[in-house]
Amino acid sequence: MPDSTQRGKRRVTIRFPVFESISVTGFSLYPGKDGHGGLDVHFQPDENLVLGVNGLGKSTLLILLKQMIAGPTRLRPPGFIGKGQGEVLSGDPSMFAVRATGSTQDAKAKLRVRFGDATAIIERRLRDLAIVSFAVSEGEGEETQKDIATYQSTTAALAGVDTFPNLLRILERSVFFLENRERLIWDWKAQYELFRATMMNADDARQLLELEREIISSDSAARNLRAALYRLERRYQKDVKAFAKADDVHAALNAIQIRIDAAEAREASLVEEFDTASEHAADAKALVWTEDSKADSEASRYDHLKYLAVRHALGNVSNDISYVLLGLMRDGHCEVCGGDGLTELAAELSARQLEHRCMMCGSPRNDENVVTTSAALAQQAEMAFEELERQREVAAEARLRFDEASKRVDAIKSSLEEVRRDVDGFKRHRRVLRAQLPAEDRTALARVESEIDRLRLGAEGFEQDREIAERQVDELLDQLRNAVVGFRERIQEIFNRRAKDFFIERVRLVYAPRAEKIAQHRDALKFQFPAFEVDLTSGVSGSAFVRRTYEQASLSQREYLDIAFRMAFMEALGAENCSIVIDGPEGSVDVVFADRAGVMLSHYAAADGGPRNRQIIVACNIVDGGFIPHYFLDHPTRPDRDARTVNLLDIAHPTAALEALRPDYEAKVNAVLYRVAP
Amino acid sequence: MTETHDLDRTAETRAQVRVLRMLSALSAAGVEEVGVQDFHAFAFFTEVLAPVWGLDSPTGDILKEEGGPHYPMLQSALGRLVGLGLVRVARLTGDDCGGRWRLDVAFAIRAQAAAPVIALLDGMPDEDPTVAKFLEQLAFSFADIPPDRRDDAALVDALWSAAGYDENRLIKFADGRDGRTARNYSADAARRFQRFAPNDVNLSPAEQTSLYMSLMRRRASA
Repeated sequence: MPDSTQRGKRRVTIRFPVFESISVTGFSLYPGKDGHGGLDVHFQPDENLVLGVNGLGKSTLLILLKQMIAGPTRLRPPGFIGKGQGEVLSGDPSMFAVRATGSTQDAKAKLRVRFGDATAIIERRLRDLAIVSFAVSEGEGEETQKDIATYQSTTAALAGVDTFPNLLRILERSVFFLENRERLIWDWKAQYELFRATMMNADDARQLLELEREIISSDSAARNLRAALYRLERRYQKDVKAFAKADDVHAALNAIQIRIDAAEAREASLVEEFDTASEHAADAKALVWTEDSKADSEASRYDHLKYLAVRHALGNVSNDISYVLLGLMRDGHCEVCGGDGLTELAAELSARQLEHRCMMCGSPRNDENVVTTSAALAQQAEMAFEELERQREVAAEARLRFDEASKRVDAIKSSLEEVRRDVDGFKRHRRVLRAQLPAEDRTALARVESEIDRLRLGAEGFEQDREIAERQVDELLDQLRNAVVGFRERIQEIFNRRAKDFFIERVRLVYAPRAEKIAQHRDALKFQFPAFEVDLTSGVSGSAFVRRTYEQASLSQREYLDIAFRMAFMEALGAENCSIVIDGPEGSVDVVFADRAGVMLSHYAAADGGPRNRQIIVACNIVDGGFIPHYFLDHPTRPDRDARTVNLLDIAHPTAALEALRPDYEAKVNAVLYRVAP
Repeated sequence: MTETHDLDRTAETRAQVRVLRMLSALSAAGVEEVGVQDFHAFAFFTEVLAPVWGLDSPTGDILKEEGGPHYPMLQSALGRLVGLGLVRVARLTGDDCGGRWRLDVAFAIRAQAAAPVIALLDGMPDEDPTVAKFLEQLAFSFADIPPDRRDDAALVDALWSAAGYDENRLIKFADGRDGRTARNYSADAARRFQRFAPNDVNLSPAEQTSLYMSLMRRRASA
């Protein structure tokens, strides 16, 4: 493990890819305009649109952009892996060959993609994605390479990461939002891996990954041994039976073992239920606290207005009496005796105040100031009271939900305690029964027991290895958390700004580290993994923010929250040079939100000819509505839009529908593509 | 009367006792009147520094809110104590709080009325005398903070200001019912002063508390 004094904060210099051009030749999916020339696209530094109908290869083009860098590989889904397991899996090398109608023998594609100041030129065969040539241009000439290992280490270095899998993480989890909708904001493991890849010193990141592997492998080995142990114990039980002379004892031993197995399985399942229920209860408690505090705040506001309104009516009574009277009027609650529900008295006091009578005895008062001052204030106070009442209802509802969540936690805890007592009891009983076995049985069984002990020792050894690795992980994770926290405010600020363009609800990105295990073992340590999640205001619980999970979010919320998070992440880390590639952003939104989606994506794109270069490449269908006009908000002229549009109707191999209805489609393209947003 | 109702009443009484002890300690330290926000800031320190004295934190978690710590249960207990005549409302005026008018209330213990109650409490077998000592020491340290900085002191506390906790999330700083441990950065920081003491000097909980609160005073005044 590296000396901790040598560890430092990583100076984040991630260079996200910005796409310059792609050309495809000899590929029947893209024969080119009038069937010649193939596909040759020069991307603009800001908005780009790939336009087409189903089957023309919009998604294929975006996937091609990614695979031109990734090659025939794919990233393993987020999650911890053991020793010997690769971070990268083999992809299907013929993924493009199968999309073409004829031979792809000569099909090639050439991509120019910029990483900071360097441009990578990558040429691949489309039949198997093999590298034809690869060069890097940094203004000092080019060097062509074909060796895969060199290619991967070079492109990783260009992006500013230490390994090719980390470059793939950047591509799949931030740059490309394609058909498969890889999750980022909704998946803490994906976030963790991305943070580890981009925000940590390379040596420490490697060390952390190795320790994760050690934990997973040791845990797996220990569990395998435990499984063998379990099988041996079962056999032991059978042997016990075979040697049986005291049938009753053996029968009891078998029976008790079955009960132990069942109880332990139930215990494991309850622990999981307990974790989930505890998390829900914590959320509910936070909401109660928020709503109660808001109610206190509303009460204080109301008290202030009421206090002003009744001050004259109260005369020179003490603060204590004023305070108690305010409580009576506000809550129908008597602070003196603790009595509740004193609505009639509260109404009477309010009436005295409105009718400018003495609050204490109800006698009329003849003071003009009281009348004029109180009337206006009373009206304001009434409004404040309505708000207070509404807030109290919200708080009461939150309390109900918390009570339900707490009851569930208590119920599970109680079941868990009960089942643990059962396990202990059953095991005690088993020991008692074993002691009752005849001596000759016990001698034979001792041999099996010694084998069981050997396996148990082996399992414990692996468990110790796991524990040692776990202790080291904690230290490294601490560094990563600090690094993420360093970017937290910037990421949140950008996210909140981007999300505001799309969402009507108030949206807030929250830094909420996840307490999770790496190993599966019951006693494995839980670590705090850096992660963000989303709070949205909810129509159900009034205006309060509530945590939104993947299952609770609508389809468009899921997608646009993820897109906003990717944008924020890249923008926060990559300064102003980055690119986001999105397939079908119009698919999940209705006609009104299509406008907002267009605006959100358009606001992201920015290029000033200088250092600022936030590129966006979007593939979408020819759809009516405001998405395209709003997406091209900053480019109202026809030439500007033509320069930013890859019209696959002209370039791609036509589908049967396109051949039959081409004039209709072209008319629609004209209508949609050049419409200017109001 | 239902079991739930009994539990609620017990919790209310416990909160009232806690408030009474806090106000008594503050009064003994010379803070005769305490504003609402200062009161909640003090309550927060009683929570996070209790482990330094080997005591359990009464609540064990806190909602991180923009305006600082706020305990609805203790606020309610304050009102009840006013009604019971054990606490008086020392100040009741309007206050411009961030552009929105709020009622500005300050509370003070009615020493004469409260003394027999506290004496009675002290005689109870389950009352830990360490609690009173802890509150007294903390109140003296809290009183050293300039009055206009007391509510800010909680905002600069090691736990409250820890970057790992975002607003609107519960900060858990006491070990949970499930036996899992939680970090209490404030108590950890207070204990860490031992590192700076000479080898033959063992800092007492009172000294650790005092040093930590001095640090809060300096940070709040910076």
